[in-house]
Amino acid sequence: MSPLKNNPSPHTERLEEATEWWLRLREPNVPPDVVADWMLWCEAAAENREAFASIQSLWHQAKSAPLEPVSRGRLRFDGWSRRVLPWAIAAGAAIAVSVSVPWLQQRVSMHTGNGAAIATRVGINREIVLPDGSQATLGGATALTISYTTERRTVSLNSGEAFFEVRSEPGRPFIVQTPSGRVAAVGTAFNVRIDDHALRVTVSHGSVEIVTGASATNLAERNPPVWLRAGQQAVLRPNDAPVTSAIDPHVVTAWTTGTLKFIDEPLVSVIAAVNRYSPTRIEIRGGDVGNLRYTGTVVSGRVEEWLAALPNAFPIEVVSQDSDRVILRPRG
Amino acid sequence: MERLYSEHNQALIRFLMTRVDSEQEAQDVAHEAYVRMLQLDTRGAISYLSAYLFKTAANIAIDRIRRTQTGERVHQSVSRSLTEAAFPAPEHEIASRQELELIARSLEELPPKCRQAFYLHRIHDMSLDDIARELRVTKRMVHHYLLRAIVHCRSRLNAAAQIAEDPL
Repeated sequence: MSPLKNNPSPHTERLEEATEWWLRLREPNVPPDVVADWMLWCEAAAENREAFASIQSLWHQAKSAPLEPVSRGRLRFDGWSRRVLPWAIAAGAAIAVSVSVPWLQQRVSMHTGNGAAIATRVGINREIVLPDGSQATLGGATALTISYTTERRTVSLNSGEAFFEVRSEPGRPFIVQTPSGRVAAVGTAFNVRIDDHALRVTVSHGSVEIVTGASATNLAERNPPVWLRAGQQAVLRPNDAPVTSAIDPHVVTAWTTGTLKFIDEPLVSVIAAVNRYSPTRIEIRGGDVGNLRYTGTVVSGRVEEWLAALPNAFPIEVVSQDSDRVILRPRG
Repeated sequence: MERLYSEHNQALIRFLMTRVDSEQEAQDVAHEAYVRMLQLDTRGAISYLSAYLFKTAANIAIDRIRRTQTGERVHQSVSRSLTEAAFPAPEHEIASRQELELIARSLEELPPKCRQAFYLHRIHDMSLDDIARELRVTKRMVHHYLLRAIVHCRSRLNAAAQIAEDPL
């Protein structure tokens, strides 16, 4: 995780993002992934679309601008004395070799705007910059919406998983609202994962307060809040008391670098998380299968291998239902 | 297909404007792409279709640019000036003389290779690979030069517009 940056000019950064997209889309063979990512970026903020349009109009205007080519003589003295130039070329070549691959895969950073709704696709993580400069890493098949006011910064996590690095703003709490409860933080880093069965909150730095209950805003009805410190995880299930335990936060956030790690979790939750990275949908048949406890690692992009190995660990079989569905059911 | 159209048309036009020079041409290319898509078997998922739509449109745009660059230049320029007359660009797209001069001046503030990269790409439609060979730098460096030149010019124009809006 990169530390929070102090942005001197978010406006210039947005122009840089827009220009990066402009140049990337002009490449002769734009992969569909890049186009989809760019569309996501466009949807993330009206300011993004405006910045992109402004680059577009500059580009079209520049064609009629009175531009002159640079003379050969001046090109030769571009910032380097003649003696330094051969070294500079050699150094440039060396650097080019080391960075060429990351450049191709590098993502354009994504600034978001208030009111934006962002949804990632299956198998794709995405880092975004929230309007206050806080950062969020979104897991695959994750949806969130941003609604900031002067009093509070609210992000609604509607599905999936996200890791938040919150910029401290005393008096303006950062709140992650989920269907089953909300997590409030002031200047901290924490991970939130939701599926149909549970809400899991893990704190990397600082502390958070979690409020659940039928009406999280009505003091009389809601459950007592749960406080979590760094290195703690809370698992909250409807109609159950919250379970708090100590955990290594790096295990929980391993997904941000492409590896899903689970410690003693019911298979039903593991499958819900893996499905957000799986090209084929995995379904569980038979209630007992979902309650099996799993500890281990799943690498994004190698879900099929992991599935094939599951019957070695559990009394289950993996059956291909059709081209995009796989069933896990009790063996025999 | 209608859903695909309503969901993606704006994005597709924006995408195509990175490749062609007028909105009308982008609309034409988009239309041709939709027509080609209609001829396809459409049982596939919508996400597959939308990816395919952008690819198809990009190919059509490339074909058109190639045609313009070869034999059809004269015919094309005549028909383009006609369509431009029939579909004038929106108000904000029309650059004033001052704006055009400001673009040229802003570019002159940049280092020579950065300026030259922008000049070759914008005025001579030279590819990044060709510019890299010409300037004896890496393609990544050309990308960086273009990024820097565009952001610099845009910032200058924005600053000028800001001053024009709030005179002190």
